[in-house]
Amino acid sequence: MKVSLFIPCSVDAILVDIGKDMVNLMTRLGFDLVYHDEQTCCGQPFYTSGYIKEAKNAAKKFIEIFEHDEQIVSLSGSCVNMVKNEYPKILADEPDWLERALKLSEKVFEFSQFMVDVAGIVDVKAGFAGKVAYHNSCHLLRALGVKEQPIQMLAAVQDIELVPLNSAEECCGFGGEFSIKYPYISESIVRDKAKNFIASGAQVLVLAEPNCLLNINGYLHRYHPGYQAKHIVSFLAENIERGAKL
Amino acid sequence: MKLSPRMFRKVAREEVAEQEQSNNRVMLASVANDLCDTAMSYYGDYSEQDKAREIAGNIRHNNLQNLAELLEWFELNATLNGMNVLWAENGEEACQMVEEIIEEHEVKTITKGKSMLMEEIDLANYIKSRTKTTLHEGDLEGFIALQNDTIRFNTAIPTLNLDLSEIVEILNHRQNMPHTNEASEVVDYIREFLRTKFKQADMGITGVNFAVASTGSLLLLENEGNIRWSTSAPKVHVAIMSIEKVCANLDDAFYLSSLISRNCTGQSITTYVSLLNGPAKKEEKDGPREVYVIIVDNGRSEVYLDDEFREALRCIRCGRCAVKCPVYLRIGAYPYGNPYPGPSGTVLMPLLLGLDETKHLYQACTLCGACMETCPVEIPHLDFFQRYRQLKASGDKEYEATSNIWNKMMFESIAKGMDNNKRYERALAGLRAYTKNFVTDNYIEKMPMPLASWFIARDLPEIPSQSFRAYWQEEGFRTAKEVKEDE
Amino acid sequence: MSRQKILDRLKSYSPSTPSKMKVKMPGINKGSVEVFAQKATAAGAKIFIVKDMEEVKARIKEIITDHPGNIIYSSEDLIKSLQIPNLVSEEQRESIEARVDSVITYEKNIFESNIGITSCLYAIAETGSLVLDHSDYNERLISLAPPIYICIIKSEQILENINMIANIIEPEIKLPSAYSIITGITPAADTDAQIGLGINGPKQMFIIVVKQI
Repeated sequence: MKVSLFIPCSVDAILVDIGKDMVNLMTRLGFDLVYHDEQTCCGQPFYTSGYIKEAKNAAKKFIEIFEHDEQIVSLSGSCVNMVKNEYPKILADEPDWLERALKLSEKVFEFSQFMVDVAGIVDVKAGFAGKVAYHNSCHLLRALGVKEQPIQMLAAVQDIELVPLNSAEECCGFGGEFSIKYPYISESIVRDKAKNFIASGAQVLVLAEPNCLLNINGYLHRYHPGYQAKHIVSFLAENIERGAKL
Repeated sequence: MKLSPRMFRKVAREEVAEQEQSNNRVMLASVANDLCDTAMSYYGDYSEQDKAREIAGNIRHNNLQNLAELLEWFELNATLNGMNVLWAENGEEACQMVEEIIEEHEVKTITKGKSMLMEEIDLANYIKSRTKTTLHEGDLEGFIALQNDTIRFNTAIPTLNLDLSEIVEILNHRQNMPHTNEASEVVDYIREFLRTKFKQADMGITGVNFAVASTGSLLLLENEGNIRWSTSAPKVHVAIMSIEKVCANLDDAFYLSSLISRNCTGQSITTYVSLLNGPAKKEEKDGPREVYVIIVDNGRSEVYLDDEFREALRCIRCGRCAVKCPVYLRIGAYPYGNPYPGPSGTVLMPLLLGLDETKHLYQACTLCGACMETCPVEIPHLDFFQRYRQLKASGDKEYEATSNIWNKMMFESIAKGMDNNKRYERALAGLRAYTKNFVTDNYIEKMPMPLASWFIARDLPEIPSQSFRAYWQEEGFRTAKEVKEDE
Repeated sequence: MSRQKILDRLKSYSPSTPSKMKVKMPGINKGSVEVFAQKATAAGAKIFIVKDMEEVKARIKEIITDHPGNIIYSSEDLIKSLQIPNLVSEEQRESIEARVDSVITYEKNIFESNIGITSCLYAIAETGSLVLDHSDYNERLISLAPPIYICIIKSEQILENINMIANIIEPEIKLPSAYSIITGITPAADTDAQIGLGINGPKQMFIIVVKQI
């Protein structure tokens, strides 16, 4: 199955390992990956800060690059939401572009959404003997309605013990520009996320959003160095070897 | 104290610090949310609950579509029921009307029910400064806030934010209430205190939850009984409502009321629901002899005319969005500086006060969407915030939005850098080289402006020498373009 | 004039076709006594289910004996038929200004009574609520001012849910000056669930349901 990779900027620039994990995992599972190196930013930061002209330009560029692909998969629910749900909104006044945006919209998926709903793969044959908690990222959960898919994939990991996370559906406090403009409020929210993670008794906090990962791990690295959050792709990729041996 | 959202950042920082000490608000909210979730399960599973929200949203949408007609219909029926219906364009005019009623009936003492609209038009201060009348807060939270010289907020978590000893301290200090450790004694004290006021009062002022057009009635919800007192004991009842509070019929009003109580306190119905149909009849031994309804516009009809923003008037003020909002829970009501703290006010206030004045309201939002998900009348909060941010970014006279030139330049230059992958790669290389100076053990712990604030509580991994695109190339994987060219 | 200005502005918008979606009008169904009792109890009321008026009297007598003090009651037929003065002992009767017929005695007595007794128009099973229509037969404060409130209802007055009340009230041509829907007593409002209990209304509420067999 042919899959086009939609790599969020934060992954391209900083969290490169997650991108590599995605390539390793999906190649191993037999997907034929393609990558457009012309891709840059989907325009979400411009859009959420109100710079609509810039967001439109980014959207058009993105559409031109990706519109001929069969299916496009990304590691970020919030970037997928931008393309899937917000592009048609911001291009609503340009009928031709709107049509192209709507067509594209149907072909863009978040990783776990794609795996479970499209490819029908729940069990990637990974193994992990330990406790894991899952944080529901906002856009993934509320804008894309992806709630069960990552849990299903985690539950399929051999020997895993999924533990509940208090306020799992509450925002981690990132919010893009919000984290820079209102750092004290942002800190206060991420602190509670970290607290709930530690109280859950989980060894790893799994999530499916690079930006939440930067935020939560940024806080954990400063105040609770022993604890770490992981992107679901990395978690699965890292534990797939062990699963294969079992 | 005059409220203003301009001080948002400063007040929020103080409140965050306080919240960290107690964690009270977050804990209370979690209890409140569980109660509300249980109350909402009345409608069935989540999708059934969504249907209820959709029905309620439609009721409100239809109410707004036919607003002028419903208001006239209500006015006619209420007048036939014997009420005096008055119209005020703004807060000042509404306050003057109340003043005239006070003078006409020679009112000396007033008891007041909770009403956010009264806070919006600052009626209590008007009465205090312009008339000789004594005004008493009739609800517990308002009463204690008044004794404590703090501001009362209505859409707050429906619990008092003070514990018994704090309340005893305040009442001892202000009212000479004897010290006690018994909650029941405090309740008795406040009960007696308020009771004297209710008995004395010659006027009761309340807000309105819904004005029912088909019957000309006022529907008021409460738990404490202060509204029943204020609308039963005094000879004059003044009800103040904003134009959007009207709904077509009782069925609609009850349907919406049920969603208010389920989402506000998690009750299936509030302890008291008053459906008031006019002054008491001659033979009745209690109830007001005169009822005034003041319909206040205060900028709403302008909002109403904007197709994009009309639905901001849907709100039924259950306050659930605030209890779900990660920002509200950390900073509480005060920083918002308006009578409708939390997401619901952040939808409405920018339209009433202008986008510059209220910029922190819609900017201090993570766009998590929890408000929108839970809203019983399906207000698309994020669409509003998004639109406000756009107007602010580009500048807009009508909504008093001034573009920030530095911000604009910054975003334009980032956008330019992202416009083309070669430019992006060069920019990334530049950023990598710059940030290298701040790296220790693969992490950045501190950086100058404009990113400095990220690092008040968070580190950032260093920018690795190999980007994803470089990795792709170096691994020898072919790009989509190359694949295509081969084909 | 403000009225005209506001309405003119609002009318300058011509509404699109209103959405078809409407609240389904439920019929008028009787509610279950058991559900009512359970919900009212949960809201803080104490429920007695009795089989006839004699038993109602017996219950009231018990409550009066347990909570001495002045009594005030409405002049609805059902309440009148109880002949409340006969339920108290001879020496107590002196101190009970039971029913009052003038405004002056009402105003004097309403604030000094320990117990208020009324009937109601309907009750709602789903929420455990009482629906009172206020008139010169059933004053507003009787169910609010005294610390103890007793309501007597017949089981056939219990309806399933509040929307049925809407269906009954809506077509009424002459509405009473007010309805009160009362559900238990005021819950506490503080974090320790202590402060605010029954704050301005009754602190105790008894509902006597006559269930005819």
